[in-house]
Amino acid sequence: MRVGTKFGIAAFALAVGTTVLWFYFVRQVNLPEDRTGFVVAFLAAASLGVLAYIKGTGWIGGVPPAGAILIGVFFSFTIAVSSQSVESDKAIAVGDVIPSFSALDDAGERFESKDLNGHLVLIKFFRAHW
Amino acid sequence: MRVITISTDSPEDIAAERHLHGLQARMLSDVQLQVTDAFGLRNTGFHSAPPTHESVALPVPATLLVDREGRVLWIDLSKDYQRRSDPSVVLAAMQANFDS
Repeated sequence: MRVGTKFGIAAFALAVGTTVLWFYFVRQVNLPEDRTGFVVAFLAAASLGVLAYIKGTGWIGGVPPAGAILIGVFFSFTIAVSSQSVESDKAIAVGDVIPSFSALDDAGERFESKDLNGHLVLIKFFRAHW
Repeated sequence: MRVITISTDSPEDIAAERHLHGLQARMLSDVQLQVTDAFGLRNTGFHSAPPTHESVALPVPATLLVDREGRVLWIDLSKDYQRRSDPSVVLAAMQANFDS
């Protein structure tokens, strides 16, 4: 087996292993705030993939490093762009009264926020189904 | 107590997918982000919406507890979309704010 192919398999194993660990934390709704370790592992996998090509791989041996590079770069990118922000002067805050609003529900029926008057309410904004 | 959710999904998409989480909540559609903007919760950072998504932006994931007079008692904003309100954090906030 060519040296590059071995590097490629190692790169792919590292990328997949890190991804499995990632989704384990996602399922626990417990991804750590500091994901430096994940970034290091994903970038190491991608770098090993590049090294595999430099060392030289066969045609089939070229597949695992490609996967490692794609996975490593993709997850590093999503971590880099994951921060969220609102315009702080517009965002609702503790003590504010919620604005009145109206929207359609999943049955196509109109909901009016005045129906919430007199009730304790939990409101959840989320990033849609996708 | 009332539970409502707000997302940029169309009513049809919500209806098709609500079985995934089994919520009893009233799930509202906010495709044009009118409700999101009324609360000032549009994400102004990188939103990473999928290319096929019909909305131009997404809300920052947020959980609010509101009292009977409509006043916000507690809010949790996700500063990072990969991290959400942990259910245990929300439950603790509900006990602290609603049981009094």
